[in-house]
Amino acid sequence: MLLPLKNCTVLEYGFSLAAGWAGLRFAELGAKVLKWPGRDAAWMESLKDLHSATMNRGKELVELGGERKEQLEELLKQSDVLLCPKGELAIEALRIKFPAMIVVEFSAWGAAADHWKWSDSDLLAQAVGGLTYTTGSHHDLPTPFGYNIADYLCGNQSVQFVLGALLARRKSGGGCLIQLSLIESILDFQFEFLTTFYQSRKQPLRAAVTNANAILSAPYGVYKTRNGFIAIAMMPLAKLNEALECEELNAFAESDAFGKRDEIKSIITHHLLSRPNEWWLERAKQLDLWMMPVLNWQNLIQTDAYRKLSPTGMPIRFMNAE
Amino acid sequence: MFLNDILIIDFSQFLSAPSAALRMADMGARVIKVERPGVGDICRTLYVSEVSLDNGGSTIFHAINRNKESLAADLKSETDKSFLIQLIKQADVVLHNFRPGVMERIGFDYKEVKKINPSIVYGEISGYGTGNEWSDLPGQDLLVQSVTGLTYASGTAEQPPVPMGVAVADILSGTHLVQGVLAALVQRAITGEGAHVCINMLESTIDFQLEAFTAFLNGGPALPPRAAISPTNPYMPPPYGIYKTANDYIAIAGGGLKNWENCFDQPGYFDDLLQGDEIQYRNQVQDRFRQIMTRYTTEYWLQLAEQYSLPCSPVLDYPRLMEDAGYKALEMEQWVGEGSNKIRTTRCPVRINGQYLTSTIPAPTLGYHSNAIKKEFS
Repeated sequence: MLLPLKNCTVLEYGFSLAAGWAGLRFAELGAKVLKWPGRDAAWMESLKDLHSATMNRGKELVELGGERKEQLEELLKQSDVLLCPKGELAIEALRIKFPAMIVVEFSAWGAAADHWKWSDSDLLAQAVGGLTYTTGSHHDLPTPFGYNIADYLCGNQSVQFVLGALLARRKSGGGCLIQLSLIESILDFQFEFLTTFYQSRKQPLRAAVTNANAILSAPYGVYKTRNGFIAIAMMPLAKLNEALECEELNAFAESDAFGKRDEIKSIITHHLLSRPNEWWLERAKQLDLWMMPVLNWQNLIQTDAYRKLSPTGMPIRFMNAE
Repeated sequence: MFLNDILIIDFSQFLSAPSAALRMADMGARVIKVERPGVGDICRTLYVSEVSLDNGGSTIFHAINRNKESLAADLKSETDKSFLIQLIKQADVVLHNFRPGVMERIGFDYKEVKKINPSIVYGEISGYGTGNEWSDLPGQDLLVQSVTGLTYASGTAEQPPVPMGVAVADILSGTHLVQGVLAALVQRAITGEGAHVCINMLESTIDFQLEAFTAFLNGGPALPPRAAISPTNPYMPPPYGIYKTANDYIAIAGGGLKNWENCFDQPGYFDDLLQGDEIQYRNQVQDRFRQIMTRYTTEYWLQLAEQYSLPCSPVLDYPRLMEDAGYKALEMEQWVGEGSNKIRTTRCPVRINGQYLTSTIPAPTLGYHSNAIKKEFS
């Protein structure tokens, strides 16, 4: 096991889901992660449930009692990295006192905070940041990602910059202040869409039929079959039709694949219902087409890939050290 | 910047690993993108939504590959390969996202590269790792989402699987690659030893689902309990979600039903709903919100929500977002390149010591830096 951060101490101070993800990764990379969850004793108790056990894996929970200021000072003295939500600590004073410390400050709205007084929330960052118009199909409500993508990205991005800062600190000896926000993480995540939008000035519209990515052509999407669902990635229509053998699809040229994508996808939708998953996937395999079954977790854990990988630890492997 | 003295030789294409190289470039690393002569990264010709730049380039390629240098090199030519060996000798990091076996055939797999440069940090992204029945399959975003259960998290219960509409598996695996490579560089700074960093999109996508997936492994349901009415995080209690209003939509991030009753001026409004079955209860609460939110405009509700300290926001599309003073205050946009090659894109999402990380260097044309690089490193 390679534990690159085994000499590093991280203090996760206060309550932030983004910081929670960051602390988790630092712990996986070998750091000593001290967590003060910023709530009362009942909250500490609740951290023992499964959700919290998952998010606090490998962290040491610390309590700050009556002599809170002194205890915090003691924790800060030991720490190389401080993760905290904006507004909880006097960051400037603290940085003067601990000039080698790498301080990460998390907020919801970054420099937009003067204009956007909304709560610090993953869902709101998705909604304000345009993300809910990427998911679901055209006639659906704006659809958020079903998991907290802003929290996850923001926390994981902070790990990237802290690692960079740790490298730089080995030479300079100095710490730094790293500021991230849910909204900037959400916008960065959509950088392909946004760059396209800046040129076209047109909102990329979700496909009306089985949208999977608003800027991609047919057949890209998830389709129902006689007994389940399959996902079809990008591929030329003619190539797809070698597997589908669908008469109606012959009427469309490759140049129609974006402009007439809903029409094309409707035809594919209807056609695929006639046979089960296995039939279509076997044909795809023979023709080396990019298709996979849509699985739930029960199906997933029975696959060979899952069993061999057993992916419940850190998603980063140092193969030379395994 | 943090990575000013780091040289990265990047053999990857599309989005996953190139997005990692972009992040490290923004952190100060020098990235040399190795591309096939004549063709280059396939992304160069990937046109989306029929939008292309004045000079005919793909907007997506430009977004992903700004701030990098391009070296055209034929991995089948012995001359080019011997130059690459020279280059790798002086590099800190090698990246690729070929399917397993490709680098072995070319002679640039970790084992070989380590002989060239023993302290190299070698980072790679595959779809499904090595040594299993999916190993040879392409790591494609939608397909990885589909096999990892991710498509069952978004949307409502009656909908078919709903993929996330941004290439989340690509971007998360790229995010993890940066973490792995930089952690290995930290380790190298201490021990002098390099590392072989392996990311696969399957594990990256499961990590994103860690909480819910762990609950499943501990006896929870095989499918996330998607709500009936408002598309939302399936694990959040109501009214969390997106609702239609009289003129638009609103995002509601909770707030407590008693507070909402006060806001509606209808004490006990939710008291008759049957508690017990959490999913049923959530659907009933969502149904009440569906009915009530359509009565007034988004602006009306946002004003009222502010008064009652309820966590709400508007639901913006890009045109409306761009007009908002908050968006402008973020200074999220930057111009790269010049003349006909000048395009607007997003910046790196961070402030270091109060400064945004920005760069005006555009994506290179294919092989633009070949001569200069050959001169410098031969």
